[in-house]
Amino acid sequence: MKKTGKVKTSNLLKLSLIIALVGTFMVVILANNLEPSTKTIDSINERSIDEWIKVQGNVTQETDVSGLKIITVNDGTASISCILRKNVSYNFKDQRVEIQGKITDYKGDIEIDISKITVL
Amino acid sequence: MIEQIFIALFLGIIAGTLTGIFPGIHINLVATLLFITSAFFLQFTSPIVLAVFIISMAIMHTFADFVPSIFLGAPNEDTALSVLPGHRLLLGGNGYGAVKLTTIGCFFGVLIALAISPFFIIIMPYIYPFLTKIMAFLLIAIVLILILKEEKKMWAIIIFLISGILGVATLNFMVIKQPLFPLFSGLFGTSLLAISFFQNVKIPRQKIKDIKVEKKKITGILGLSILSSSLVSFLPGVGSSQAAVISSAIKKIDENLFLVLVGAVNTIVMCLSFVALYAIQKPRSGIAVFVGKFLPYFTEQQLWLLFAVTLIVSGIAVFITLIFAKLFAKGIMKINYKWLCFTIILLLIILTPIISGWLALLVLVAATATGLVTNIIGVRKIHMMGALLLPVILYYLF
Repeated sequence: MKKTGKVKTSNLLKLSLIIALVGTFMVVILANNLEPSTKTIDSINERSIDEWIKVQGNVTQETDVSGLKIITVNDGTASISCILRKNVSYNFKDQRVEIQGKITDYKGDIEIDISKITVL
Repeated sequence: MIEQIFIALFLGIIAGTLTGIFPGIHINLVATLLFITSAFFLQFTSPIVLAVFIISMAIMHTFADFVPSIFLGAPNEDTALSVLPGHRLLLGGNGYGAVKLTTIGCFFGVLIALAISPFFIIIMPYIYPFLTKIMAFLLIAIVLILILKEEKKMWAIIIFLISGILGVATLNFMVIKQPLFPLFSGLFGTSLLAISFFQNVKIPRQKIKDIKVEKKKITGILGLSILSSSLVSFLPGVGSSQAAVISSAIKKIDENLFLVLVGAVNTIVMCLSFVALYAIQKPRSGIAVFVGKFLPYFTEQQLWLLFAVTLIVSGIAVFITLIFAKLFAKGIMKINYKWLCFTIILLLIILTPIISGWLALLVLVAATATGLVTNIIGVRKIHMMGALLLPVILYYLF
């Protein structure tokens, strides 16, 4: 009986380890390839905070502030401030861009914390 | 005004009891709902009253949250490390005593936090930039110490890495909402519940009595909780779970005292997050974010009012938590524990797509399997905190 129990435990260990590794691998792959849904800026509100989204629009304003770049994006429905937490020398002003990021709140204003920005 | 504050305080206690007792309901969810509907409430009341509600709910929640963690094995990221010692005491008939230990920790945590707050308000603006620089290295050192202390070092590294990679991927999984819910339900909840289910664990008769712990040792643990909580309370991305891990690396702590420690760090970190909001104008907990929204110009007077609220709620929370612990202790003997485990696993599986989306089920499965490996191998569950530690280390390094 003891032997059977041991066999069962080792099988369960192998199965769990395989599921853990395969599952983690799948989460990594999906996390890197699945993109959030595209939204219009006018549909973003307080309820959207912490949601990941994708928006497309024109950069109407750009400001560099101590290691941050703050850009204002207008998609024709509304404008929103987007924060790029990297030192990037590229000038986005008047460019059409696609932004992926998380909606955050900064002192009462809704912003997008950029995770990826692509010039279209 | 004072009547409104007391009404908000009691409503907060009711809300915090419900969010604490029922697994899967996070206080941030209630705070978000309040924020969305705040325009309506602000017609009748002021922002400070809404902040009082949120803080009362948060403090009550912190106390009551340990009841389902210990009795049902359904934790969240803050209470995860209490599950195993709590479960062992439950199997020894001491579930009530286990909750009492976390409650003692929570209550003294509040007193400690209030006592050290004036000191932190003065020194925080000066040491905050330094802490930001050393945090990654401190956490790496902690992880190494924990692995080196483990007998099965290779397994400890494997568990840390699987949990860490899963944590990093899940936190960056853009289509999953509330990513910590499936992650921690799997790592620390469903995995232990599945083992209890398959091993046909029987819950013995529960004793409604205290677990004896030396007062001197409790004092030592509370001192340790001050140190670890202070390190994490002012920085983004780190919280009570990291504080508990830091404490474990510093000193070998027995299971009973560990429950006191987890309780204490939870309330200290929660209280100090309000101090951080005042001292460095940065919210360091989900709840502090909402307090900051309601009180954008957080004054010293408001801080002291919120401290008074915290103190009153803590006193009441002790009694409410122990009442629920008694009810759970009596109730759990009347039900078939095997099927209770099955029901909670089913509940977590149903809640996962509702709270976090369908793809979160994949995270739940991978996390559960990682938890099962940890349980079968017999290494400490603390290595699964890699799910939070690795993302934070990477955040501070890059």
